Amino acid sequence: MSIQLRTVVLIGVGVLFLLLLAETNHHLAFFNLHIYAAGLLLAFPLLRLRYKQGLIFVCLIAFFHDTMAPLPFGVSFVPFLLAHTGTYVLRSHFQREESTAVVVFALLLNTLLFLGFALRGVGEAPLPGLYWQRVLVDGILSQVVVIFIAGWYFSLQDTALRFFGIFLDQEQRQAG
Amino acid sequence: MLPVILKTLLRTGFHELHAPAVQAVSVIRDVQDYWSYRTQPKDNLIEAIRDLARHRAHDELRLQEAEALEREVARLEELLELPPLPGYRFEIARVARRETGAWWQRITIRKGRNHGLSVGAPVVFSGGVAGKISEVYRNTAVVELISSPAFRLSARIEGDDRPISYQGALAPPFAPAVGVAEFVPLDIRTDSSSTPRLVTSGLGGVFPRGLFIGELNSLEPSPDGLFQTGRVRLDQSLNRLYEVAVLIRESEEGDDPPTP
Repeated sequence: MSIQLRTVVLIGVGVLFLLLLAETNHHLAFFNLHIYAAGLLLAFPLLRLRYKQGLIFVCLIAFFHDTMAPLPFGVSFVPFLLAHTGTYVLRSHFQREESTAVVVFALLLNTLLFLGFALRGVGEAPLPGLYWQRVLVDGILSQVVVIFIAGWYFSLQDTALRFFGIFLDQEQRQAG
Repeated sequence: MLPVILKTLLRTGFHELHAPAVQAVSVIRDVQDYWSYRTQPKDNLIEAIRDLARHRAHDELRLQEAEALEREVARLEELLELPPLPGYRFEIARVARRETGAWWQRITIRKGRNHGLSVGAPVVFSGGVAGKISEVYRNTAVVELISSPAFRLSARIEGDDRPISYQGALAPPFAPAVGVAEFVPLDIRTDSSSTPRLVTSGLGGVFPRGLFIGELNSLEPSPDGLFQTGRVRLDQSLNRLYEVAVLIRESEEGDDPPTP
């Protein structure tokens, strides 16, 4: 499995996004709020890359994701891999080049991953009522942020690929 | 699934890879603060200097009191032939990143293994206990905050020697962080006029005795009826930490000197 340029570019953009998100969360900590947007991070590569390219992307981005969280290293890899495989099976059933479809897909993926981590963390919380209150507020905020920045982020990924001479739309039209 | 050594190496590798970016962003923030201070009118600066001078005079007095108490402790130790209390050195570190999510509450500081920091070292700030170090890298370290559900500590009520258990319980949105105190004796009471202060018990040997944790603001009987369980209100500046101090045991330093 050789790492292709498009995978490297998307990983670079993904890491940049993770750093920007961490910086936003640093400032939001003042209000005790937190944004989770892993679904947005994965949406574009999962819908547009080939299976092996997506697999390398998922593997490396999951490792970066885990280094920024106190999770046992590699924990995110399994849900990310499941999301990748599930998407690969289902992606031919909808218009994956349409921006609305990609945003809806990112929202659904983000909700699933967020709920997965929320259910994982409930066992440790000594005050479950307070925990779910916090999960609800963070969850709503995360979804609103995903809706607002999805267009910009997908455009950033597409522009970064075009900058390196990779035109995904053209390739997919030729393949179709 | 992966061997532990490989996982540790990968985790450290990936963290060290993005650590310079974390530090760079933090330094840029400092520069930004510096230039915003430069734009302040001179009157504000003069006022701030006057306030600082007042604080310094107060601190000098407290320092003299502390020195007198230290001498008294040393005299009593010698008189009663007691082993000396463990000494700590303070390593001041800037906060590079704060993360206060529903699942974890932690900060990343701009000092690490190269400055003599080790996993488990207690971290304090002006409002008392801030947390303890959970991960250490070359020039950065991650601190598990006292409000994190993964944080547990042996505590006591100020003026009472019976140990109780403390656990972090998250920070609700737009409100100060809270913790939970368990195994509180039945004779402890809280009301609007008196909120017992929770401090470290010194048991376990990680945190020195008497550091402020928070205020016990509500109590209810535990299911077994033998103890009480209560909510602890933590310092409201915990989510806006700018600088913290890591306590490094002086004996530990002697055993394992920091690498340059």
